[in-house]
Amino acid sequence: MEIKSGSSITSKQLIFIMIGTMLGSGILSLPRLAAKEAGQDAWLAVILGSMFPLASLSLIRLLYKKNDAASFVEICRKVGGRWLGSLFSIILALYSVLTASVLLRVFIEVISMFLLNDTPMLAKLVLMLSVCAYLASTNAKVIGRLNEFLFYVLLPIVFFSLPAIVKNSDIRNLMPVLNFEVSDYARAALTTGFAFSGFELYIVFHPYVLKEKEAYGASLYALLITLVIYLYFVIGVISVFGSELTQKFTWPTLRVLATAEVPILERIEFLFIQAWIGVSFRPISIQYFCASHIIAELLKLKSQKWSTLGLFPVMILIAYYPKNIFQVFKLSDYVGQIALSIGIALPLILIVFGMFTVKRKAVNDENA
Amino acid sequence: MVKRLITSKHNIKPKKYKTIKEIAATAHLRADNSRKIISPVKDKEEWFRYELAGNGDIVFRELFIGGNEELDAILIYMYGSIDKNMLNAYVIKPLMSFKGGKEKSIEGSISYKSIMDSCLSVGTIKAVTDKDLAKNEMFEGKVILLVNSIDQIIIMEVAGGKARQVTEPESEKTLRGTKEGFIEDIWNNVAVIRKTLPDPSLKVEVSKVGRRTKTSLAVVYLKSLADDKLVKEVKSRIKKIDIDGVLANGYIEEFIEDNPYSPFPQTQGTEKPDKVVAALLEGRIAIFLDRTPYVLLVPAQLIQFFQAPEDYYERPYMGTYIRLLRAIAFLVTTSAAPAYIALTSFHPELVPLELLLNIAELRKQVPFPPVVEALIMEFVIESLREAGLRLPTAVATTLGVVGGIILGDAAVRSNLVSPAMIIVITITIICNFIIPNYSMSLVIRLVRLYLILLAAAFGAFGITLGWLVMIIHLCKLESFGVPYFAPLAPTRFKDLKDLYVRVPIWAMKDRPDSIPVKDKKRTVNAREQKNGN
Amino acid sequence: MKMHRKLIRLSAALLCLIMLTGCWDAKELDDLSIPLVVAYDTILEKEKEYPDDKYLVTVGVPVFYEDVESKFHVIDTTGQIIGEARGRKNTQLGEQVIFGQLQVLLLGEELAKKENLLEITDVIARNPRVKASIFIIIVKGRAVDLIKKPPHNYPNVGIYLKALMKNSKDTNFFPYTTLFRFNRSLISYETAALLPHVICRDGEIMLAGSCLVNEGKISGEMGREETETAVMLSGIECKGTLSFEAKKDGKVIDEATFEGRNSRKVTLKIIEGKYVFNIQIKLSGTIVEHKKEVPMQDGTDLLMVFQDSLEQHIKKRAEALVEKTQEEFKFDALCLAKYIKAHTREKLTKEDIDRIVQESEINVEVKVQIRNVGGKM
Repeated sequence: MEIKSGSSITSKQLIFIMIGTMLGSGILSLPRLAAKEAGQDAWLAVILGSMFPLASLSLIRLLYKKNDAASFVEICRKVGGRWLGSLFSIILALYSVLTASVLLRVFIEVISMFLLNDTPMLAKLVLMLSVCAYLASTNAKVIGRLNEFLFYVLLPIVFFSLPAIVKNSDIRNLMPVLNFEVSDYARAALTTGFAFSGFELYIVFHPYVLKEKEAYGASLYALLITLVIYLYFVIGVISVFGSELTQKFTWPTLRVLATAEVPILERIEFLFIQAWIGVSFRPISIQYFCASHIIAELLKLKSQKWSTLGLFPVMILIAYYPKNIFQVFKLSDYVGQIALSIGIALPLILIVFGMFTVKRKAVNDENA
Repeated sequence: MVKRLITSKHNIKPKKYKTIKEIAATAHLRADNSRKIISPVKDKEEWFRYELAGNGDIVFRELFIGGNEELDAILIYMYGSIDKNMLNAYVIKPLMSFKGGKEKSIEGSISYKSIMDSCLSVGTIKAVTDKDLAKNEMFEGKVILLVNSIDQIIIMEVAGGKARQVTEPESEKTLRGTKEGFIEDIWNNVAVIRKTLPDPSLKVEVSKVGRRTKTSLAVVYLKSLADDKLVKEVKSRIKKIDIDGVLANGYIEEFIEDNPYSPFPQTQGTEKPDKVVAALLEGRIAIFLDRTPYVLLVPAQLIQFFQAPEDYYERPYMGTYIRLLRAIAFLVTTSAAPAYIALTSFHPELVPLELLLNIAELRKQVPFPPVVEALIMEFVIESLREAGLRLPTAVATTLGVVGGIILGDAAVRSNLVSPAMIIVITITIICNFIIPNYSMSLVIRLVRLYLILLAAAFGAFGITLGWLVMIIHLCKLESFGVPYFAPLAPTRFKDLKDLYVRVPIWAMKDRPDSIPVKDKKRTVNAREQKNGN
Repeated sequence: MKMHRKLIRLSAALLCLIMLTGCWDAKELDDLSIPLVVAYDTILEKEKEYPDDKYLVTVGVPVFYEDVESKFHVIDTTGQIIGEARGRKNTQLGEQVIFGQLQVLLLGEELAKKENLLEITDVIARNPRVKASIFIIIVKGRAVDLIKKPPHNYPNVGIYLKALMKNSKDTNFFPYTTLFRFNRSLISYETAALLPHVICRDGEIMLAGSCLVNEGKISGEMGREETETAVMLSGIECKGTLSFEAKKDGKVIDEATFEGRNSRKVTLKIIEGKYVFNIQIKLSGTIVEHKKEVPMQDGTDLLMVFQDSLEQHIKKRAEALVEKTQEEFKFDALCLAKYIKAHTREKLTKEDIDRIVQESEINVEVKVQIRNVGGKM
């Protein structure tokens, strides 16, 4: 099993890559979405929502334990034969392209509102996507390094929100606990599950980890850290605003930061947005990387730069398509649903196919 | 048959008949009747005179070895490259009083070996038969000796000539460390390293680069420490260099770099021996080049360019403070001007109210947008700096006063530039020179320009994207297989000890993690032994 | 290899060219006007530009040119809804408006009584660039008159009002409501918001009391003393001064002034379906003035007397206000709704909460802690 040089990452870097994909625009909109379904128990909904990614990660690990492969495309082909396997790979690649485009669009919407108003949408999209393309055309090692560095550098944004949250919060905003129906919680869990989307890319990165035994544990660590950070923000926002007011703001996290009264920098939400550019850039580029990586491997291209370049106009078109912010939200909900299904269904299907292949092989061996 | 029997009994050698060719060849020698024996040194001498015609600095010194007229010899050398006293005392004099020569006749032929072993009191000496090789060697500063009836040409090293004094390098001044710098002679430089690091496993591998310049290049490393693969890679890259002339270490750097398109330097250059030895002890490799005092150290990492030896020679708190100051200065110098432009052009609501009202009042009088102001100031400062490099010191000082004080004041009064911008640019320039490595400070100027343009086009978003692109590039960069951005990118917590802080010497137990070495441990319980008592 | 390098370099160069051709969002500071204060009012007949106009929006903008008549430009325009009025202002202003530096929002009294303030302030709340901590002040009379009168000792009204509100929480027991608190009280807590009240008397602007805004409209007014009590009861943390008479055994022995911070603690118990609130007001600070000289031995006793008297004094005022809330206002004026919501599992509407506040038993307890009597014994 030859792994392309430059594609091997340590398990610690896997943690940071997974955090990079999962922790995205959820920080800004998760409080509102969770509060809509579960009110002041939004934090419980978030914890429940993390069950989906947990299931998906376990399924993926099972898949790789049963079938040994050097990359995602290889395992697809091994399991499903050449054509069906390629189809599976293409499905994931398409999903990645779609997710990256939608994430890009959502990100640009936020930036448009707060930073750059008049710049044409196309210019902003192309600008951001070029930077993501630069990262996507490198290999997994560089992505691991970058995510590790960015994680440590951007961790202080969590601390930016401390003054606002500590001063204005009230724990009573989170009470009473457990005041909703089970169906409410289930629906809320689905909504918050979308916030973790990105976990399904574990299927692509798993075979590149140097010590495969540690890969699963690393992904769980990543899920835990993402969960803690999301909980921090959800609890923080709701304890400051109360669940009704949280639902009124499109991006309640930014509004919470705006309430902080810090002496010198009057608007720390601005610094938060700068850091958030770095946070949001990661899932877009990692999804982009996965898509171009899979396509490069399928088409046996010499360098990933070609597939990255080829996908560029496609993504710009998809990102440019929605005409207003509600279409954007609808599209992102849609993509979130696909994320959950792909995350759970794809490894499941591959496992099932794997079992058939084994049976077929065993039968062939017997006959031979 | 009788004749044959007779001859075999008496062992008489058959007479040798000369062929016609041989007779014809020596015809011209027989024509000269002034000397009894025709000396073959004339052949060689003619060839040399022909080849070296037109050079006024080459001397042909004819002499007789041991006073023996039959032992004709010629010394050929370049006048300015030799030590005249040494030549006279240890080459010409012994040759002229060579006793071994007096007794032998030309037929008996003295061997070149006896001249080399018993006559010439020169340290470096060898004999060759190839005339071309001898000619090249002579051009490299050696003295060649042609002797009658000996085919070999003797080549001696009697080097002299003037060299630069060992002085403190201009760009790497230190207070507490060694003030010796390197000079142009490679052998002297290598000798300094050997003096500081007399480890027997220190290898100095010499080769020549440049088709015409044939400059000597030495690859120096500690064989017991440096990774073999790394050394092999370095040597193979150097071997691949095929160019007419190598004038400075910068040429070598461009040939062996991993990524020639990157603005960041991937090798570190230095003129100080202590830096070189420190690098060697970490498992790095040093490349010396003749005729240049700069030494290249590979592989290089980003943090090296922000470290100065001074940090290690002062106490740890001081070192830590200076390092943190440098980190802040780096941020200020790259982002202060872009941030000012972004804030005043794109996001005025982020500036505190009083400051904003102040700036707005001042800006009312200035006709240019902040970008143009920034670019004008940058251009002026850069021109001042470049001009200062070319001028003699006295004029440069005056220019500094004129430029700095008077120009700045006049610019503000004529409302061409707002005072806030002047302050920003001044702080930027000052912080620029806190970076200890000169190449890095040049790179930072480029980075700043790039960020200014991005800030002018896209505000704060542009600045953040600019930083992101830079960080991606740094993560991608590798120098000889060692990640460039370590210990930040593949975060090695052990190595972070040397990044923002300066941990005491006794606490730096291991060598840097990213460079492959054979022996990871640096010290052996230096301080604990003391405390144990 | 060479081809793809060329292609990448070409696309990068093209990208740069396209990007740098237009700095679309760059705005010269010269082209900006930075309003500091905005005021909303009901409209008088003579001010109407169109017959349907209902609101008057006034904006105060500092001027940066020198040698001008006034350094503070005040513009008022009318419109049917606030946004329209704001839009009309652009025909008068010579620059682009940025709202990011708005410090204070003034609301005319009449407007606040008639219209729902949540709807009025919608245009500001929707703009993400406006600070969430902009102060909201109710003006007795018309807000436009307040802005048009230049203060004597400050460059302009905007800076004056901002300074007034920013420092009021360290000098008075007055509410310093910001936009976000206002929204939070009305939407999340479903309680009434307390907004400070300024009047303009003889050219001087001063804080004169407060108004209670229930469901978006002014539903109650309070004078100075009642405001102080309300602030203490609602738990808005400030630092201010209180004067009281020190009584010992019913006899007035001294008059003193206390300066300190307030805080409150509320506990809610539900006993047999009846809500019982215990509000504990805590005051801690120093005595800054008292008239009589007291020899040293009696120092502690006097301090105790002061504490007791102040406690009684405040308690009396608080209980009076509580009664007023329950009888007259009939809505939650003391920010107790969040406790009710935290303790009840049923879904409560605003009427339920009002009813509960009316019918529940509210006990007030005051604790004063005087740490110091100043530098003089």
